[in-house]
Amino acid sequence: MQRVPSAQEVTLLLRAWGDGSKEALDRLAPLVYRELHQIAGRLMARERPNHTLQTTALVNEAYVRLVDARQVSWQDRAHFFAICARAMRQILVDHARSRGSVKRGGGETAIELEEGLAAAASPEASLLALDEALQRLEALDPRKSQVVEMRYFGGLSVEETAEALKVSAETVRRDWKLAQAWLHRELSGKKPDE
Amino acid sequence: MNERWQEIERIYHQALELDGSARAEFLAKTCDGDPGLRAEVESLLAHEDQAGSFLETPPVEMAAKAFGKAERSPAASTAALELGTMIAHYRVTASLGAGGMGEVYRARDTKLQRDVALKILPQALAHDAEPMARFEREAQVLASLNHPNIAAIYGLEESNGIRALAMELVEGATLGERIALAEGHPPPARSGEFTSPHGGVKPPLQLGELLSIARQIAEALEYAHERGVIHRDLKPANVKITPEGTVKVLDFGLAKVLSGMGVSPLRGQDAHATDQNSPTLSMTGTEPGMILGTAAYMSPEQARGQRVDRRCDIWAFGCVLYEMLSARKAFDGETISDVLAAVITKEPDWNALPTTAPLSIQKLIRRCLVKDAKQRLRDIGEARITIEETLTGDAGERSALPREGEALPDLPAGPLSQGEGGPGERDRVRAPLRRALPWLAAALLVLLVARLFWMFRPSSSAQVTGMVQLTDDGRVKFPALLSDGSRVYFGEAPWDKAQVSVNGGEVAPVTSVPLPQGLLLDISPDGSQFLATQATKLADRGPLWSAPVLAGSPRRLGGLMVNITTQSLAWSTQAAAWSPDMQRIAFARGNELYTARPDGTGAKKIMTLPGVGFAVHWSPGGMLLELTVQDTKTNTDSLWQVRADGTNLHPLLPGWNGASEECCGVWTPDGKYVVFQATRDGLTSLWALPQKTGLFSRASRQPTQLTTGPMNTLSPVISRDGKKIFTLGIQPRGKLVRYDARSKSFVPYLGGESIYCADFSKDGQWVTFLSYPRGDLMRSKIDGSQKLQLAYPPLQSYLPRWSPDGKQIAFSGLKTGEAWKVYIVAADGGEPERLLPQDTAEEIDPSWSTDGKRLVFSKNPFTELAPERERELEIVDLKTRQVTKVPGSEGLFSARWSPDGRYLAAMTRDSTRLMLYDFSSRLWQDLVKMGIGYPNWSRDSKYLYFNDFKNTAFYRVRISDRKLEQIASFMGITSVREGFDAWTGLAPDDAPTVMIDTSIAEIYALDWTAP
Repeated sequence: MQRVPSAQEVTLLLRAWGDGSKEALDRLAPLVYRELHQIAGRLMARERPNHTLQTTALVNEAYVRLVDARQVSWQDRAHFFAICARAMRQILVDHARSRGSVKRGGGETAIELEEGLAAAASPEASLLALDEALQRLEALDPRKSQVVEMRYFGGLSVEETAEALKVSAETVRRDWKLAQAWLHRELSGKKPDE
Repeated sequence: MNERWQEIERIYHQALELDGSARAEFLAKTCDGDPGLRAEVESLLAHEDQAGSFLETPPVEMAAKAFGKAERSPAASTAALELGTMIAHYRVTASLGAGGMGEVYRARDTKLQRDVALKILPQALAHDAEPMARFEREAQVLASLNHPNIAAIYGLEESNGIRALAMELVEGATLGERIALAEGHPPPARSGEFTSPHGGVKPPLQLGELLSIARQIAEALEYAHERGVIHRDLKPANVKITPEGTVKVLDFGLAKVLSGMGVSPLRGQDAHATDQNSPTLSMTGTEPGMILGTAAYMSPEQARGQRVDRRCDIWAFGCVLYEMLSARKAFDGETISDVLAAVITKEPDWNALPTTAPLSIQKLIRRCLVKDAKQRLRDIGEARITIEETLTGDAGERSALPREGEALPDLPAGPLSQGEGGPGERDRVRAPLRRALPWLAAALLVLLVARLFWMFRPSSSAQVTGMVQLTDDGRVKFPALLSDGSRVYFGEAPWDKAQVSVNGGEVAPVTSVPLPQGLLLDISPDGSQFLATQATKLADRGPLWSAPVLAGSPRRLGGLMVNITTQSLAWSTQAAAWSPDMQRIAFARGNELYTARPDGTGAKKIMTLPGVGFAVHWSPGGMLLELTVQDTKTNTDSLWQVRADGTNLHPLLPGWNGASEECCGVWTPDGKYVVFQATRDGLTSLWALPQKTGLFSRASRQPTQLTTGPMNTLSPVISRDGKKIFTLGIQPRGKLVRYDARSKSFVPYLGGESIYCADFSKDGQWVTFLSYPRGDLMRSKIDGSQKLQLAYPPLQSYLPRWSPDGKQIAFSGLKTGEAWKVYIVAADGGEPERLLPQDTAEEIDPSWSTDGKRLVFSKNPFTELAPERERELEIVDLKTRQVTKVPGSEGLFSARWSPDGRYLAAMTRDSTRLMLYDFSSRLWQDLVKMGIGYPNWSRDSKYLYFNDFKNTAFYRVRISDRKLEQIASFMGITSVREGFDAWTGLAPDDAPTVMIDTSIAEIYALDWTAP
């Protein structure tokens, strides 16, 4: 059984990461992943079906559990949420993938979407498609991919995203706009040259 | 990122700004000769329109559906049993429903011919050998529990692959159902509903019945705890009451047993202790609402997923008791997150407890619901004793509001009981008693303090063994305390420096430091010199002086400046200290730590601190520096150590005290301990932290508490021989007074209550105020009736202001770890709401516009080192929440809207100028140039009232001709002078009001032993 990270430990790691320690991030990410997974699993499985789950609520709970809020500045908080966003994406994709593979008898092949996102066969499929599109976007423009990750998977506000990425809010807004258009195009399967 | 993509991006954003033909034209021009580029941009633009909101559905919800499906897969569910099914020798006769721990059936024991309850275990785990073996072992322990108030476990049975726990079948309603019977009734409150047989409202539970139930629950827990069994999931739904009134606690220890088996289908290899400790949270088959139900009774340590012990049951017991009394949950919320956050950060609504509930029981609940497990009631047996005493003794008759002659409560007047007395309570005490009371109280206090000190005796760690009061002059004293071995030096209000012998006696002035507003910082190791500073206009800095202890004159040390704060009683400044060899002085200025030669030359910055540095002390060997760092962003104070060369800076007690509020660590002469003060729940006490002394010694690094309430103990200083700790003991209390122009004196106002920050509704009938020293935000009629608390910890409130229509109150609020924010709360109660939930900057000091549609507020000038230009006054439109900056208001704060709406008044950051803004001319003008505090408009908008910076007098200035007059002197009264509590205000008739200090503050010597 793994030790529960103390709030202090997470807080210190968070600060260290804020100060530029890559190692801190490597240590933080699995902690956050595990915690979020746990919370997400619990909430998803048991909340009333009509209860709308908000990513932010989830991330906030992880935050309450993992971080000593009194010890961190709100910049650290943005960093934490950024990690949550990454972890959230991973959790959902892992989950969608396992669900998808169950349906396909274990096949791990990527799902190609021809009809586009709106007509996606299942939530799992659309999530996987989005994830793959995001990977392509990352190859093209890493920051835009991060913006989408934080805004969509992490529920970060424009300002929080800006803080975590250390860019202006205006830049985030522009990135978000273009990235959405780009992703939408990717997912609707229409390229200009096709 | 390739260049083409950058080009696409640039053109895309430019094109977005344009419409229709302009856009087409722009694209044609820009992408001339590159149709591929144009096609790319155009396709993105096309998708921009469609993309709209496609990423708006939260992905979690999407996945929730998927997870939900997994949940209903057959492997994890329990098969519904058909009636008549035999499991071993039990025949299932009826379904009792699905509880938090799986499905439950009524069954007939065909051997013993009795009815039992059968709990069916989820099949998934019934096939898993290893956890099953553990389950059996633990079930045996549970089955060994034999107590009339615990539902017995008969055994574990298996047949046809189904495993079930056979348990005592308890008929009757659960406590949850019993409490719910009262639903539809208003929560029992205020008047004597428990004791009055004629009361119109039927309470959910009669007091006697309630206490009887509580006693039986406590007995059950006590019995189990003695056998090392923790319930872990105590809640009203797990307590049954038989028709005969016998209580049976259900599901003892099952939470742990079941969760240890991995009942949650989502648990994988990565499961960690959270599940172990969050009982029902990890169970399958829970019905909707079940999680919420359990989370509400989880202790903070459970909620955090930390290791738990029996104190989590004590917490839950407190929650249950609270709920029985108030018919509402102690911690509640819409979502699990809300509930958990409440458990971790919020206090229950203490006002929901009926005032007629016995004081002893109210205290008991508070002791059970202390968030820090270490400070919580230690033994459920104590709860049982308290309940029994209340049931049998006359304590049961006593209510929280002392009646005539009952001014002294039966328990120590700790922080719990402060502020409980109603308005004017003291005045109702009969005259002879009233005269005797202060003496009685003082005597009792000393006795109590002594008793509490001695009671606290953890074995084999540092402990206080005795206490002597050194001073008795009744004057308000303040830190820092210094000692040269024969004398103790300290401050006395307002700005005096005083001394007393280490053996006690007369207080004498220190005459050798004739610095106006001087503060002593340190005394040299040879006892010959002080380090001192002065409070100045700069507020947070002061010049560094050295001064001889006996005779001579002070000497300015170069141009050195050191940090000063007068923010709270808990603070001593002490931002400079002599090294043991007297060769150096270490001092803190802002976020920087320096050393210099004793004459002030050779100042050298040794490092940058993570906050503002105070309370600098050298280790006996001169290798290390101990200091307190104030984080101005989170408003926390914590202890740090650093080598004297500026390396190895580290916090001493990371994460130890929730909202870190430690200060003033001093080394013992042998270097074995650092003694410091820590503030928890408003009470400051002394602690000792073992230090690593040698290569092989292993310090436990866990501090030991040396003093407990009811008195605050602060600013420790250790005697030269290490055997005594000198401390300032403070029992804060104030009295609200107003200036009576006829008698030219200050007279008690609003019953002379210990309150401040009083603000009145426009009709003069209502007042909102803060209690002192707790700082609870309250409102009441001016006669003290209809008192209502409007905000609860951890939200601290300051300077509440009535809206012109009397319906709302705006105030500055501070939550631990956050910046100051403006909040608005309905005058009739409710949750205080942030004015600008999105704003991250500090907001303080709201003031209403005449029509009540706007609020002006400012930035806190003393914290957060923001540039001057960002410290502007801002006006919020309450309807649109649109914020506009007041032109030319850079660096101003404490804005006050004139009642006629024509002006704003505000102060400069250094509080030396009062400025006036005319809304018609949009210009600022100087109104007064002097040290200003707490400006307030007269009702007719013709005057501004304020006190001077030094709190010596009240002034007013006439707007029409700037005429300044002193209207009342503070001579002869001692106002509370520390930080925010040094407030002054105006009564509805424009009479100045102030809270005078009636605190007891004396110097004590503690004898202590430390291994």
